[in-house]
Amino acid sequence: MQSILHKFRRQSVKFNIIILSAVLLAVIIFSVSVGSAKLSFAESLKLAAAKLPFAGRFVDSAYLGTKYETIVWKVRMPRTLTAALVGASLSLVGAAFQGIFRNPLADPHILGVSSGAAFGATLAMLTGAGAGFMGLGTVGIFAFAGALAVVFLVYSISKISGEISATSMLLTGTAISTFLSALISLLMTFHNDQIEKVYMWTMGSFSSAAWGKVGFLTLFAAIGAGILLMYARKLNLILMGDDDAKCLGIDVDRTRRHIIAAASILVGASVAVSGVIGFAGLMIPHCIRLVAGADNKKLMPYSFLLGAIFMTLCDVAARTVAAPTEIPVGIITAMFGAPYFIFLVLRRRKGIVLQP
Amino acid sequence: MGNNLDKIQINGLVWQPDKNAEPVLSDVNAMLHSGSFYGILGPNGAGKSSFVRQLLRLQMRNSGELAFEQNGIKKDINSITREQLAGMISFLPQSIVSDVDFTVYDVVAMGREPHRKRFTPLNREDRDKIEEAMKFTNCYHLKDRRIQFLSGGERQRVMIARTIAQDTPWIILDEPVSSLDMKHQYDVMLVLERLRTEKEKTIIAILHDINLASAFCSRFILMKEGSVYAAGPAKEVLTRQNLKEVYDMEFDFIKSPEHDRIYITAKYKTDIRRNNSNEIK
Repeated sequence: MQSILHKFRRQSVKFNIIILSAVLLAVIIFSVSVGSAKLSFAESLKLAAAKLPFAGRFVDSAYLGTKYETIVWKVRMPRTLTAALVGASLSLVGAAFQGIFRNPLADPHILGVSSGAAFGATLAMLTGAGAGFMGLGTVGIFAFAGALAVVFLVYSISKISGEISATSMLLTGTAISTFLSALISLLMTFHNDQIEKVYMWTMGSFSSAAWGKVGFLTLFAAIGAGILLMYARKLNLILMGDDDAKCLGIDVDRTRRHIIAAASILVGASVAVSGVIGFAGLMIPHCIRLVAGADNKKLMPYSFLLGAIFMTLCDVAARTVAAPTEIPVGIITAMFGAPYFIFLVLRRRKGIVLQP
Repeated sequence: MGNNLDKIQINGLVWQPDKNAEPVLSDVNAMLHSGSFYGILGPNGAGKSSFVRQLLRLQMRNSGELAFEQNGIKKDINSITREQLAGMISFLPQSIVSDVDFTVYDVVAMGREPHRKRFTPLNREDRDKIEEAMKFTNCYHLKDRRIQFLSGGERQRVMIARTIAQDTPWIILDEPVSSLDMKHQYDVMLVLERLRTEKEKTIIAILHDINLASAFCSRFILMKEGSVYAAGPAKEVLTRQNLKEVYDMEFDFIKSPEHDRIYITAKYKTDIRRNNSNEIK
């Protein structure tokens, strides 16, 4: 194991991205083959390959019947892709936030984005307003709007004091986050018939996934991830300190603003689709740093792919461990994540991990 | 606009961190010319760091003039973009982040940022400049090491290599030798000296050791309470009277028996006699 990790560090970025992508593909095929209707890995692969635009002609999957095709294509595939996209987005944002705030404890929810989303979702559930947009239900739209509104609020408040510092944003984010959580609790005390629904939503789940939502996520994930990856090199300089980055010609405030905006789109879209899923965004970048170092040109794309792999597997666990009961995936990520994180904290003494 | 920079002119510069605070820089006047090795001296709190941070526009100013002169054209520092500034002056800050898991090569390569376009990897020229800079400060053999595991002296050589890779005509260093032992202090100063003579760099360094400064610097800026107390060559600035005024203590001027050099040392008035004599034998 040690030698594999060592090789990983020394290989070129392209090579590692290809390896991680191959693993992700295998995990996705595995995920669509697992469930109450049993399919082998090879059969799932055939069903998936049959949909490819050109190569599909050479794959014979007709003998599996339309029932399996429906299960794989209408149910499991959109769900698996949603999990992968959400995992990828959250982990990438975790890496970006840990860098931009120079704080190893920063995670995608640190600016209050998720509380904003949860507040929006709660409002939607309680008012029962009906609307639809890009495959999102009312709850999703309210959550997305709430997420973006909170980031804008946090940013504007920290700007009042003049220069926008990482600390003032983190403190404002925490304050607003706490405030909104209290507000959600208050709303729930007056509507205790809805408590379970709201509670389950905040735990996070991919059970409501559909192709429409996959489309919505893909669009925003592509925009957000594209912008974040563009800033990888500048983020490296900011990691060395604001003054340092400025003296190397970087407009630090603008860079920070762009990164926060792109990250908020990613988190907002993820939370709108799947609720609040913790720990993945905090943990995955630290795992990557442990083997590949702090260079964001590697850290960001690797986190994106490993996040997708991790979340896909967590979702498989969520729907199979206690089948037919489904466990909210947020519980799975936290139960895997927390012990691993403690392990990382203990390793910290050796001076290797938990740096931004 | 080229990267050359002939002069920096500072007139009546005032900076106070916020409205109710005492000004840190109360009235700074100075003229910096290219080609010199400036040593900035003065007690803690005299405004040395704030002064050099002004030259890099890392702080706003409340009033006064701060202008760069190129080919006879004067420009206010605020009208120069960050990118242009990064092409003229490189900076080694007093404390550097050292807990980030970057390799030495990665860190030195950061110096090329002002010369690089987005999305393009390091080109041939970049890699040559990086290698040359590392060899210049004798840290090329460390290139694959991680910065968090370097010693203080090694790290400082790496950071100076980065300022060299940035390839600017002026280099500013905030206390580049304060955390180093005497031998490493001397080594770093020798590198700076060579930068001036071999690469014609203009060097501005904040220093605390008066003797080290007087051995290497060609010009001195002595600061006290937020303004420049004296500026010029050693014999005008490092006088017994000036030092007494600025540091508020007495100094001894000792002529070296071997070289034609005067060493300046603080007079210590201690009457305490310890059991064992602490005379140096």
